[in-house]
Amino acid sequence: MRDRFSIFKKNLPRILDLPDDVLLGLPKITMVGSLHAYVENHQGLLFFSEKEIHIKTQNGLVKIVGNAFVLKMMLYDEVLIEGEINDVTFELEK
Amino acid sequence: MEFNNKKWMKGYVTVKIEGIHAFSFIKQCSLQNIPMWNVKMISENSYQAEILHRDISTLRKLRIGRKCKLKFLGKWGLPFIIINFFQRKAFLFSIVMAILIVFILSNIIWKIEIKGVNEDLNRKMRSILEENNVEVGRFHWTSLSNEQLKAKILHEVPDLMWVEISKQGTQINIQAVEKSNEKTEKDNGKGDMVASKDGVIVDLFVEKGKPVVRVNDTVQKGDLLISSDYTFSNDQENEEEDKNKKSKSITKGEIIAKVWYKSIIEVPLSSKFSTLTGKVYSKYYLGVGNKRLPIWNFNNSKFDDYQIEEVVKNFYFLNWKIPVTFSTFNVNEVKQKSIQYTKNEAKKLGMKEARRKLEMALPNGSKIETEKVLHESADSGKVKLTLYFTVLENIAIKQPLPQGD
Repeated sequence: MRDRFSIFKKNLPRILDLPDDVLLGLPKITMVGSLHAYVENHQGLLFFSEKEIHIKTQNGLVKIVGNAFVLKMMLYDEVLIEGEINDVTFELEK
Repeated sequence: MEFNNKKWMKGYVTVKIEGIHAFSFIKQCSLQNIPMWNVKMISENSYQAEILHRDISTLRKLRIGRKCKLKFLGKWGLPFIIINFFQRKAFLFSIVMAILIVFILSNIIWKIEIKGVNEDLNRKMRSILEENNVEVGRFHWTSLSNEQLKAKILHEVPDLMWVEISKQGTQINIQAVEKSNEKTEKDNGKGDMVASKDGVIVDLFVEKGKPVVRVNDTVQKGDLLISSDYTFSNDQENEEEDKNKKSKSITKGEIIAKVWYKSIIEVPLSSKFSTLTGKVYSKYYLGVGNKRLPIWNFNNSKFDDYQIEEVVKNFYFLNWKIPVTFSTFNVNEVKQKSIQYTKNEAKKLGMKEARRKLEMALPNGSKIETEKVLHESADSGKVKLTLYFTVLENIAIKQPLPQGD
């Protein structure tokens, strides 16, 4: 039953032709080369250092690894990361 | 970019956050919707961030109960620039001085222009103006008001008929008109001269024209006195030419005649009037717009009966009148006086008054020859006089020429 609902929910944006991030509350990450990463729709920072940033999102954790990180902007649910980005990983909740 | 402009307009500060709870504190801030930017980790448990100036108080409140320290490293943006600007004393001082100098210079008379009179009167008027503190290089406010100055000039230069004083920026313009006797002659010398009043001719001075009256003739108003028709020509053919000549002929002269005036005057036996006792004190007010603020001498009137004379001084900045005025109230003590006249005194007073009135009304060069009391009565506290004057005066006036043919 639960599986069916989640399948329906995943398919809903396709049916209604809506962007995913709005309906599902998923994070939207925009990157400019490896210089900027603009994360919207997050649920808070968990860890922040020069080399690593952990961001909590609706369906898990986003890990950004790199060098010389600076938070160019930090608002309620969006964050702009500047630095040398090497790796973006998703650790999805099971 | 828009956000950058906004934060610059509002002013922002760099803050250093230290302590074990530093990061959780930053997290809390973002949850409280405090925008932060340029967040950097300096070392373990030490972060640097920039926040808006207006969020500082919220930041301080959030800090309470947390183990972290706030250190403000710098401040940027327009509000701080403005504050900085006012902290630069020398700069501010020079601006104030510049405004003050312009203000002082705008209140100085730089030029006095007198128009409409000849050199001689011009010099005379200038010397009177100088006596009354109207001089190039003096302040406007040391001089009398325009009205008072006007009265003074007219009083001291009797040759003037009319004076108008106006202020234009730092320049004082004076327009004056001279009294001139030549004007009537210049005006029009042509045409007959007729009597302006009834009278008996006493003397004739005819310069040009043909007199048609003789001494001791009685004339009535409008009678012909000096004819312009003195080009004697019996030629019938030249009659047309004659007429032209006639209208062009010039007459000039004076006809002195004895004229009678009757005047009725009433003098009350007792009169009340108020006089200034000479005791005076001044109050000073600073006016802004319509309101007046006392700045010196707050005492209320010491006198029972008084009269207030207000002198207002205006200030100027360049060409504009500043809505700030300085006014002096001169409070003069007034005393009511009443005088009782005897009948004789009242009569004398009445005669004097009647004579004075008549002299004012008569043209220049007239002479009052005799005066007579025709009738005298006293009732209900008044003396009523009927006076008769004989006056020698010039009654010849130019008859206006008929316009057109």
